[in-house]
Amino acid sequence: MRHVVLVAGRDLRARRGRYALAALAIAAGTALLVALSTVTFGLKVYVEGQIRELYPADIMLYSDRIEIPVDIVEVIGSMEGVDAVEPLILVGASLGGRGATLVGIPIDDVDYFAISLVEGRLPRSGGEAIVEETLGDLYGGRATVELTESLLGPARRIEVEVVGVLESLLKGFVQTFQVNLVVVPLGWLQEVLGAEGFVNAVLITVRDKAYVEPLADALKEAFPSAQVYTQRSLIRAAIRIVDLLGVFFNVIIAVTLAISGIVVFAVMAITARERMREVALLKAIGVSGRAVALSVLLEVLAISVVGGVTGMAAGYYGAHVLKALLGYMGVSFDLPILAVPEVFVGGVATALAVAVASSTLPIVRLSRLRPLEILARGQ
Amino acid sequence: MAISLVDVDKVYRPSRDVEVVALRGATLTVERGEIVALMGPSGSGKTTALNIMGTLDRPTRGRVYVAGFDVTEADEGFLEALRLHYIGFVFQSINLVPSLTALENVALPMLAAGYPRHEAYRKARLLLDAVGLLDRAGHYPHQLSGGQQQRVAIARALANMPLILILDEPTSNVDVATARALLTLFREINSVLGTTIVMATHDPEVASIAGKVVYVRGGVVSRSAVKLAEVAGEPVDVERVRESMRRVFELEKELMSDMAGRNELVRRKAQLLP
Ligand SMILES: Nc1ncnc2c1ncn2[C@@H]1O[C@H](COP(=O)(O)OP(=O)(O)O)[C@@H](O)[C@H]1O
Ligand SMILES: [Mg+2]
Repeated sequence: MRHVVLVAGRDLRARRGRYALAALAIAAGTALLVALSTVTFGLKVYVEGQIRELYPADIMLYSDRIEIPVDIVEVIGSMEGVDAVEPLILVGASLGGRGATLVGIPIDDVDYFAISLVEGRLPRSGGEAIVEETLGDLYGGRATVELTESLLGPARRIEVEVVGVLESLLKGFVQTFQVNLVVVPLGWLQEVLGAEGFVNAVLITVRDKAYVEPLADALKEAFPSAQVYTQRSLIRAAIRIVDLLGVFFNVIIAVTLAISGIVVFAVMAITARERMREVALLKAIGVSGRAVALSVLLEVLAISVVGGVTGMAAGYYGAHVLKALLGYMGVSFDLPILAVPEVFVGGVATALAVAVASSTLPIVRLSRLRPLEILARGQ
Repeated sequence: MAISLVDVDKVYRPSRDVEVVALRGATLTVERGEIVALMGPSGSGKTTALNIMGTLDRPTRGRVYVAGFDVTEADEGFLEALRLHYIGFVFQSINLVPSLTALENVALPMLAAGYPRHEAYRKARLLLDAVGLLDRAGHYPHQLSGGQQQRVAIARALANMPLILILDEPTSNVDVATARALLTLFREINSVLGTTIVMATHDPEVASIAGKVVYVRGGVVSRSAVKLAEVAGEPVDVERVRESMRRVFELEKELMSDMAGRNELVRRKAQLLP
């Protein structure tokens, strides 16, 4: 084994410039992989956190019609494992041309929704509303919420007085997530819509996540015309969107890694060609083909570990740079850049795999070389 | 007997309809401890014969025995081990690994054979001293002259104390003085270590150190009737060379008892050494 290490070490030194190039190619691929994976991971963490904030409940029962009797709240509340049940009305609306969501919540249970006010106070009586920061310009005045004709009822206008501003959820992450909430007391909204005793959404929080699935199934059966969302299913749906971005990233990563692989292959193929005489000599004096293969493999591993670890570090800091860059471009949400061990390990492992795969052909060629072909030609 | 070729043909087919007969019915026996010179013009088949004796090439027809083994159809793994432990080569041109120093080149076959690192380098130094190049131990091949490279190659060929030393035109790239020094070295290796030497040459002076001269012409091998003249002059300090060879041999005997426990080929070799 010592001869394997000796030959590998000395060759690494003799061709260090060229091997540094190969390591650089590997580093570039790994850096991109680690940077984009770190950003994707951060995005998932961010989106998941935002969804948990936006939908604090574990289960949401939702219908297009205001047809769910409020009495059901009592029934669900008494069920095994249920912690809290909140009825509410969620209606798509527009406010001076801007899309908005009109939400009626029981004012007594406002704590449940963990609303944090930026300005003003909570609504106390009918006709008062609080709006999201994105509609903050309406604070202190009156506003007209327009409802179009829908399954909920005919088109109508509702006048509200904006008494407070709540902190934007999702902090303006993606336009479609910008819900422009207008929150009013539930009782009043029921009255206005002529739907006393009914809601179109129920939020349920359970004591133990194990209750989520059976409870969701039971609700689906009880309200076949309504949809049952679990927080997990919402997160999954959102993660799927992030994953779509991930697929795009993966294409970029794959192309870069392919280029890294080609560079490594070129370097190793040229080197193999140059080393044919040397290897022929080694085999002639009794060094085995396996030892030759092992020696070159050792070099490739050394090159890719150096490249992989460099790329890993560069990628992690690159993710910070990417975030700063997005900031300059106006995307100003606080994307968490986390040091994810899986991403690091995956990055280095990919570096090794790409380098070894790209060197296989030159390595096999060298190890199978028949010494006489070269020695005879040299004579 | 060390090597035996029995009715060996070697036919090369460089392309589909070209046949080159490099050896034709070659029969030759090399006894243990003998120095045999293959003489003949360029292209007569000397290198081909050496390659077959050294197990680097296989005959098209006939049988080949090396150190008591029938190697005609032996598998490549066994031949690699045989070359590592029993045969030392000095090739016509390519002989040293360019990225290794002279010392490392000499130590390499010992490391491959599993000698402890320290001992391998100790013996490599003794061998370099024997060929008069200890002061060049740290030099790379490109920093050495042709003759110096040749001597490092000889030290490398002797590293694992081979039973057989195969030399292909060992003096073709060096001046007359260096050539004579090398011949003295070969004779001392043969007499102190008992190494069987087979060499190809077209130089009668080189052949003169051989106990047996064999002529190769057009692939046909024939025993020489003539015993050639002695080497003129003694340009090197024979006593010194002989002394360093003895030191190599003593160290080797020490190391070999260790190695023999691990390797069947080495155990057999230990019994065959003087
Ligand atoms: N690999 C080969 N392919 C084809 N012909 C070869 C090959 N090796 C040697 N020969 C031919 O075989 C003959 C003997 O060559 P060689 O043994 O090298 O002669 P020498 O060493 O005596 O100069 C020459 O005609 C040479 O051209
Ligand atoms: Mg020749």
